[in-house]
Amino acid sequence: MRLMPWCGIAVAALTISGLTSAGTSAPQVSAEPASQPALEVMTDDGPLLVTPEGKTLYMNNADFNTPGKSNCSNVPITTWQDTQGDFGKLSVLHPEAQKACTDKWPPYLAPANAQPVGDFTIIERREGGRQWAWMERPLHFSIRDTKPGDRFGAVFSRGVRRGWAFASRDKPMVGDLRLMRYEDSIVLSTSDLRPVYTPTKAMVRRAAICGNCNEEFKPLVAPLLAQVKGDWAVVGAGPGRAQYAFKGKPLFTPPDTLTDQEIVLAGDWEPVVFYKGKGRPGAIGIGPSLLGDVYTDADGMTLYQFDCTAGGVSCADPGDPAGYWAALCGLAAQCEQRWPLYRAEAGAKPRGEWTIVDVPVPLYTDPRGFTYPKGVPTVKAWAFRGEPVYRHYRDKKPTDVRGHWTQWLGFSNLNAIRVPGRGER
Amino acid sequence: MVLKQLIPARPAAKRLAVVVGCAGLAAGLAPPSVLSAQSGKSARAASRTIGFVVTNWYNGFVLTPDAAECSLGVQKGEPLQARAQPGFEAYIRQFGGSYETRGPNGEMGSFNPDVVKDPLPWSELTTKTGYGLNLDGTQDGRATAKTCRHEKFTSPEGEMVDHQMARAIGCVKGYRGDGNQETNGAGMIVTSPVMRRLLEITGVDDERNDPEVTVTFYKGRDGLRRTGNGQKWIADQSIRVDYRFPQYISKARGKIVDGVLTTEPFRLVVPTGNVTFLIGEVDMEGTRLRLKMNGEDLSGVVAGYQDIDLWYMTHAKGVTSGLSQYNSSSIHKALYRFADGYPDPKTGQCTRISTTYRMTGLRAMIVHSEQRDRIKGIARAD
Repeated sequence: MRLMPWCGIAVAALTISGLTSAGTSAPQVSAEPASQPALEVMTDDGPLLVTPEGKTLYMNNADFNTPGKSNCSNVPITTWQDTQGDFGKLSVLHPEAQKACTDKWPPYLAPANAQPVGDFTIIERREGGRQWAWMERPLHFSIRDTKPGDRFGAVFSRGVRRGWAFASRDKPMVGDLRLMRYEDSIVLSTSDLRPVYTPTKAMVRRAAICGNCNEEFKPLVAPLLAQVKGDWAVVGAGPGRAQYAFKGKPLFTPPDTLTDQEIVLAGDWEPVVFYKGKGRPGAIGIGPSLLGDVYTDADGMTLYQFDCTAGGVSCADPGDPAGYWAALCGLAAQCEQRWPLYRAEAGAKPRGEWTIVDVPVPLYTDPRGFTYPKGVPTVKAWAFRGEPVYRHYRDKKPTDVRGHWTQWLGFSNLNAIRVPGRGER
Repeated sequence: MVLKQLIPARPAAKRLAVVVGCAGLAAGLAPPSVLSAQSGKSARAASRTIGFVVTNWYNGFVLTPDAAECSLGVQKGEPLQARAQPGFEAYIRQFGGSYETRGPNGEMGSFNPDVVKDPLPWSELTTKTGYGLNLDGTQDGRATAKTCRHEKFTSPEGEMVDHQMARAIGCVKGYRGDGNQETNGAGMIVTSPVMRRLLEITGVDDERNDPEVTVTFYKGRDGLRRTGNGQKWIADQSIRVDYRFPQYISKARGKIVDGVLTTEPFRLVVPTGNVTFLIGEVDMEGTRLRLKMNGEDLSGVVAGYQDIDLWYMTHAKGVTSGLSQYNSSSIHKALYRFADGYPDPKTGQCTRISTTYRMTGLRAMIVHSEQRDRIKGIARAD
């Protein structure tokens, strides 16, 4: 029997299958059999599949409707179709250097004697070789990940970046709850990706004053005899009703009339954290912008990131054509002036998804050449999920987002980095 | 704080009802900044506050079918400019790129207008008729301390008005009538949290004639809703001021004559765009309003001198130059060629351009409250 502090009603905490949060900042390996080609681990991006060596696995969105088949080819795509300008088929920049999908997303190959196990099957690749698939979807690595534990190929729980997502299972939990990224943590959410909430301590204190002060927040109702286990419980929600609770916190769904940002700013309700992230360094802030909350530098100025896709693969990696940058901001010196790197101070320490990387200055010497030229001095810069971050010269006040959506349609862009789960609605 | 001073103590839940229900009526509920701007009239018991939410906002151009008012028809956009640029098509077919990357180093004209050259001629706006207001106070557009020499339009009412923005973009397909920039803009009033604009008139003694009122623009926090069948806006919706962004509060002195609201010049800054793509600001110095109030509705013109750099930066990001037939480099040059306001003291080059928007509005209850007030029962409980 557990006494729930919110309602003062003692209820039975019974058993049901469901995820249990790790509750720590270190990834936890689940107790999957070692013979499986991948394990599910809890990370700052939710429960993800990794190899037994800890390398993160990814799935191609293009494979979603073609079970058992890989759409990631080892042949580079060097042309694109210009429909707006009506020029027909045109070449990508530097077609001779264009990378194939498998160059950027190496397949997770299975040994010759490997056998299917559980949800893991094996597909034959067109160019030869056997590849692990999970629930019929081929598994890949990202070249952005250089060591076990890196997760730079995709973003956020169930998020898609450049057409790729982490290999993860959308696992409904009790009350049809899901997991979603919220700032640096994983929180419980409704099926339409809104966090569920629990009253803050201040709100609980106020409850004595205002009575039923949660009337716009609906209890996540549970059958009175629902069976739950672990961190989950069923607590009373008034006469004849029960609601789910997680780690002793009663769960409520928010009203449509309030945005999540508004709710949190009010300070009376907080999202229910399933997995606490590692936070961010002191050099990185969060502030409200017209886009919703964005990440900022230490002075509150908005941080931006470069993104690029050509021939179906990223063109934002070191050594990709500089022309994708030059289209937006011209010669390297001009780009540097318009989009200054957010340099890391000496002694700065990485934290969470914020790391420190070496970036050449200038980023390229020839706008018709390639980025990260050899023999160019480098500086230490802050990086979000492995990629350097920039400020914009037109931003004058904290959280201005004047640089947002600087884009070459269909190829490259620079966008403000939004805080997960804190968008404007 | 304000509530505690003005409203007798009552249970917290009841107090909230007062905030939401009466905010549009009682000037006394407005924040101190609003109160202070109402000068001597704020003390008059009979003065009322009227709120509107902006329901449309678009360029005030005089358009004729087939762009007959443009010397060469609509401007030739980037794709046609690219085809006309000697050797360019052969180059991108061999080395890659798109019609947008016409600069010497593959730069896009949108973000690098100075290095891209448009080979095709500019289509001049030839009409002498235009919407707007006489912003510079002259009849002939001669240079003044705050303006550069320019040609005036004659409004349908026979007034000599300033609207140089029409000369810069009035012949661009995307900004004309059903052009995608115009229709996107109108749609964003509904869909974009950025485009929620509120106009409040305080100190109103008589809605038909009042020699002294205060007009304030705010960024709104709540979306605008239509009736169930989607045909009409719902009047008198309660919409909160978005106090997270004080930079988007613009205030002016005004008056109402025969139901027409006009203002003295003021600086208007409102955000524009959409959270899914372009974001920017409309920043207009010397702005004046002429808006006719008709029952629930409000319509008329907003005219002022728009910051050229901000305008260009916003629109260069947002336009699809193929669909809009937007010719970045030529437009950038035209904006400065036709600029008529706020000359740079060193160079004499005007930095702003007279611009007229047409807008419509609908009565709304403007709620001056912190966001937490929406959570019933906890308003001001502490």
